[in-house]
Amino acid sequence: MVAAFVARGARVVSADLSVADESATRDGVIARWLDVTSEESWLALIAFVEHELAVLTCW
Amino acid sequence: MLVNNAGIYRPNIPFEEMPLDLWRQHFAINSDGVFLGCKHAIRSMKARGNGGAIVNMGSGLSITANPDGAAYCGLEGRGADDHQDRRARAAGQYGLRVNAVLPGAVPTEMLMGNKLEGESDGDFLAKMQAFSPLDRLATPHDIAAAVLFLADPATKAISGVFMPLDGGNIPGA
Repeated sequence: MVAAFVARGARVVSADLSVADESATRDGVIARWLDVTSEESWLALIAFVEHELAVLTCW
Repeated sequence: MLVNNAGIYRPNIPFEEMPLDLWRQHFAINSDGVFLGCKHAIRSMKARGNGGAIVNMGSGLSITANPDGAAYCGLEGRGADDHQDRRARAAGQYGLRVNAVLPGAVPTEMLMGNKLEGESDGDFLAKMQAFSPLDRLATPHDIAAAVLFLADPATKAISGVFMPLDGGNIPGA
């Protein structure tokens, strides 16, 4: 599992990349767990970020 | 915008000693993961119809060879990055762009895993830096700047490129 950081809004944000908790939100960034090797996991993430700006995956 | 940044690298394993499960783990995360991310991002961006940008994190080792990093070099060179032009072609018809950044030596935990036994951090980093004509290592901020550049709508005419970020170590690559 890796962390996927979802950015809301257009501003450049900073985030503590060691934090990957579904409830963690800071500076408009939401961290969620993602299994990059799982189609289902990607589908769930894409559904979640439908109205958000950006996704960054991070090991 | 999607940045496929997640990846793993287990260095210092001679090719002939590479365990199959470790080989497969590299491909699952670094190649399947990028494929799935691109696939579902393209589907989503296509449905929205507002364009979009995908930036994949490759490696300088995509275009060079490290015999002690066989799984990583193998997939970065042939599994992930060589599909870049096909991804860009597939996405382009929907107004989407796909590009890749190829970092060289960046002082991170992943890089430090390449240290040889008994080698100090300072000696190792100096050795890495000596490969750069600019006499500098790229920083994580340098990588982020390149990602933002490629994702910026201002670069809307750029798609399918590989951007090395290695202090000029592989000029023209």
